[in-house]
Amino acid sequence: MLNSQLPISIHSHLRRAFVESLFSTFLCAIVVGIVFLPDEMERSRPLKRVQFCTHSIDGKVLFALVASMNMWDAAEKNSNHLERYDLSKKVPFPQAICEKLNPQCAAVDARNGRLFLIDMLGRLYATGLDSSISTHAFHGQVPGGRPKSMACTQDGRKFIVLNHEGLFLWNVDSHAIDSHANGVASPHWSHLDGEIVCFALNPDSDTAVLGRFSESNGKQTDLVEVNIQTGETKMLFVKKGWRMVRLAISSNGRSMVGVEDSGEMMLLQRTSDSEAWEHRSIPGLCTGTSNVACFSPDSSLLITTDRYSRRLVAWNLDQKEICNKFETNPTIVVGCSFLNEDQFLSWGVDPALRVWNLSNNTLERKIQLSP
Amino acid sequence: MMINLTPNILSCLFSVSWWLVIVVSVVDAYLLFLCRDVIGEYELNPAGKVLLMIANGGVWLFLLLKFLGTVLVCTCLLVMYRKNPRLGITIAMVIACFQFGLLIFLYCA
Repeated sequence: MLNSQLPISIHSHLRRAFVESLFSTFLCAIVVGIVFLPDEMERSRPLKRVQFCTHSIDGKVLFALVASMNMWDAAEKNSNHLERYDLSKKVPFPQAICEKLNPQCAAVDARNGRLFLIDMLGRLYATGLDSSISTHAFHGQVPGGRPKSMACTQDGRKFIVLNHEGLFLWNVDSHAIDSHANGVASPHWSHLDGEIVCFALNPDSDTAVLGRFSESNGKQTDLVEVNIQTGETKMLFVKKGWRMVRLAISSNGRSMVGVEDSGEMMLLQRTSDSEAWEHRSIPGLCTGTSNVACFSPDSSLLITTDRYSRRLVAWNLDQKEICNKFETNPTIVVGCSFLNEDQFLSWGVDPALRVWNLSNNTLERKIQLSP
Repeated sequence: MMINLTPNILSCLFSVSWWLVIVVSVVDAYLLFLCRDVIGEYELNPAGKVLLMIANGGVWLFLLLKFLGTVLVCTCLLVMYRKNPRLGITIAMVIACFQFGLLIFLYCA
């Protein structure tokens, strides 16, 4: 009799304990939810955030690559689209372009009025910056897809795509944007090296600098200069103990910053009569987890963020000290770009673009993304 | 050395530990939900990273398993406490200490 009752007793204990635990967890979720949920209701709509932003050569039109994120719908989460903002209007109304492409990265060719886009499968497209041109042309496919970043040279004749397989350079006809026949089908050259983590184009459009990570002789990043015409490489600098995740070069080509994955930064400079890069120490130079680093058009300033990515910091590279700070709370900054000498853009995890004025240290405009 | 505690104190100790386990787990789940747009970049737990990856960056699977795990652990603690109060309290207090440490880490990080 005892043997037959024992399983029933255990079963009953388990069921009672399970119901008590379930009820208590639900109760606790409701009580804690009263504190958290009111603010959360506002956020229950799909979240939007800018992944990349660029502008026309006159700085009057912005192009933002916007990611829509919806935690309840995985397909919606990965949907990206491009929005165009006319800054000459008092309230810039977003105009969606190339909605069906779902681009992952974008690069602007401001000189020829083009925008290059790449989707998750590595398919390359070009479209016009002019609002009247809504067509896009298929320009080829990057092997392996899944692009990490892309950039266009200042002369608009070439663009580089980096993905997990390596680096690919494409020559493009500077006039054709709407015809397959004038496009290109395969890269001009490629470096199939999965260790390339980041790159930056030199303003001369002849060379680029690659950050190549290796662990064979201990953790280190090799900065390698690559000739854009031929793909030949030349070692520039070795930074031991670092995994560099971002590189930026100033518009005069004389300053370069490298960002480590922890947010530490390294400034390299070369004088006008020397081609060798030399390390310059700036006490406290760092950025946050989003690795923001952007040079001003005159190359005298560097914009970074603080460690928590909640404040933009402007560094004077001549005096090697902080010259301005811009509060961006409550948002976390993920990127910035200069519009002109006095104005720069920043974007973060909230659905807005901010235009800052350097001459009076103020937030000049806040542009909301489309709802 | 054995510390003799009255059944009331033992019961109270168990209740506090048991509720602490639930509360910290629920607060952690809400923080995960609030940070869902950036959690892919900041999650440190390898198991959590795998769950986020399986759900294509969504947090629903992570939240579901966290909820089920909490209910399962609390059920086990209750069963153990009812069979062997001293063992149940000891385990509940150890888990509660871990959870309290997690709570401090979450608010400091």
